[in-house]
Amino acid sequence: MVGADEEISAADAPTIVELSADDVLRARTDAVANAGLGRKADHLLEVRGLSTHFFTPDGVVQAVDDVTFNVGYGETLGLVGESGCGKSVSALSIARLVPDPPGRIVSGSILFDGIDVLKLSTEDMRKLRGKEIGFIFQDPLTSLNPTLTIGYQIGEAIKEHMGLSSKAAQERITELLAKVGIPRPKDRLNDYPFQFSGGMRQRVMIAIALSCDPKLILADEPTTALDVTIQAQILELIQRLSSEFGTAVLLITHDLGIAAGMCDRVNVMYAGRIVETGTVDTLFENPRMPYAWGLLDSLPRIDDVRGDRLRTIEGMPPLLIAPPKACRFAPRCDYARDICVNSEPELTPRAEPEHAARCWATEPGGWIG
Amino acid sequence: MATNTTVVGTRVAKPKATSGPWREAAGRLVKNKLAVVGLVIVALFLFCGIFGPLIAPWPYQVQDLQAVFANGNRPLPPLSPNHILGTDQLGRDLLSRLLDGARISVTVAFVVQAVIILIGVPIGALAGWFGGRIDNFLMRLTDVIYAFPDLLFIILLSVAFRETAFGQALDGLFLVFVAIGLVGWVTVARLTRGQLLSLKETEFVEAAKAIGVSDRKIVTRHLLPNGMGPIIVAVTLGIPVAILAEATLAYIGIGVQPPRASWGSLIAEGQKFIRSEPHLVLFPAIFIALALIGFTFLGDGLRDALDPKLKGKQ
Repeated sequence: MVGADEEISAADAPTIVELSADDVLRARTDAVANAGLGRKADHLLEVRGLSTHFFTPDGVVQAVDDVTFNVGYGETLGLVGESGCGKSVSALSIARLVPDPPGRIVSGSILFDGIDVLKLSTEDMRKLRGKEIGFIFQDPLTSLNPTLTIGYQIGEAIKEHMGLSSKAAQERITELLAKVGIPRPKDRLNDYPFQFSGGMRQRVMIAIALSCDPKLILADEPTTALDVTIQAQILELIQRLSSEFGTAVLLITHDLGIAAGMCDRVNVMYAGRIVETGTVDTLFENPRMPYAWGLLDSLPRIDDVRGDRLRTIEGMPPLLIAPPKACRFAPRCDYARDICVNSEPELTPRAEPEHAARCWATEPGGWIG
Repeated sequence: MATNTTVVGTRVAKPKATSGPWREAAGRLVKNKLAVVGLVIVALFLFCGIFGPLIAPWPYQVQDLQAVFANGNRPLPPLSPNHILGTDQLGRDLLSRLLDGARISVTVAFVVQAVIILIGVPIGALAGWFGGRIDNFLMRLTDVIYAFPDLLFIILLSVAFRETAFGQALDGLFLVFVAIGLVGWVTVARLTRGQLLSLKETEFVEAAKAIGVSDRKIVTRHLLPNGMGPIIVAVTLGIPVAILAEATLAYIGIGVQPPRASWGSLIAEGQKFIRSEPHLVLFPAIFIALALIGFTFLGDGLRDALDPKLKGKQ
């Protein structure tokens, strides 16, 4: 594993912002192949029938409803969808960070490296977080404590989980800061978050997430709060480091461009459910669910005529209090027929391997071929 | 001489000394004139309290009976030889007694606040962090304490324990400290709870949870330092309240016992001669007022310095 790491970093180090797709693919394939050493299960993460509900005064919000997916060792899985589709809640559920009350995981199982996460005691769960599962949050401006130094905040997980001496910890913190591309890392250990720019802070967050060599990183819209140039750098950094360490990434984003560039497979979520899943190639070439078409179609294109309106999906996602037994996208769907509002489709396989969609119209015998 | 063209500015600027949020607050504090006035008064007060007996012209209990006798058995007026602020009826030097009183007030100010912090912060932190039933129970407890008449409680406590070792400790002062502290922690507890309630929803707390930081560390390293500002302000503004409480108790004869002199008991003794010798009341009153003003100015300044967003809104 160590040997493979070196190989990858040697091949990878000179490319800082622009990576050729082949490089990434090769590095990733190697990393994925190696990441499984000592694996305890078929997949690093197996989420089965996960339902997370929020018990509010207005009713039970079924934020995540019967969601099933896997993340392989070293794999990057994208979770895409509009705001309020349950992407973040899925990630929080995996780390058992759903605020309770009002939220609660009501059913399902989450197997992380063979461990049933939902059965762990609070204390064991705490030991898993940060050590095996890293978390990168959306807004680096508010995710760092303003009164503590960067060095302390990166060292927190290391001290908590790795039991290093303070000198060894200090060295590791410096090394991590260098890894995420902070210049003069030694001088910056005692700086406070306000002395860092947004992009730098997100780099620090990545350093924190990676601090204990986790097997999985949950990245919840890691670049949404950053501007586009910084965004590219941060994504490249996540990609490079996850390859280097063989870390699996669950990348949550609403930006399909990011998902296409970063992920091996993509799950499209809508209204608390996975509506389509597939490898990046199949999903982007041949989406089998009108919602995915809509998402793809609403991306601005380089050949768009200036002054034209951007394309959108009309309407809003439904409220998730007592959703009807029907396709949840039907009210916004141009292709909806009676069956769509009368019964709910299942997530069924499509022609390509690993490709599945939840849509009556594209099922075999459906009205869209 | 004209060839003296030393290139300046090529040296790489040395990285600025790290300045945390606390240092920034200190910078804002010293820019505030009233706060600096408060700081100076507080510094003087502390100096008197700590080094008072060393700089006092006389020990506080020594009687200059000859001088009083020469004055027709009346307290010496201010500016008398050997007694700048005069003496009381027993010939004890007023300045020396005021300095001893300062020592009592300083001790009261800090020990009472320590008691308040030791009780108030943990209770508030527990209530705010755990919420639910624990919060409910602790907050009802503070409501009860809050509703209880302070003075009555302190007097009852003092009277009940006066004869015990507990009541005799530190010339009877210990009891006063504890009594004032026991009724005073309520504000700090409520404040701490409020701070924690709002801070525990912040993302950096979630981020800390996400890397497996223990609850205890989240509260002590993440939440309390962030919520410390208002607590520091409350504690600073609580000091004059404690000083006043001690003076009030001393005035009605509870707490420090003669021959020691608290500012409150000096006023009580001096008021017998208020018509003929007003300085015996005036000087202790001035000392009390100055101490209160000093801490109040400092507290207000701290509030502005620690929460710059608040400035000008109150």
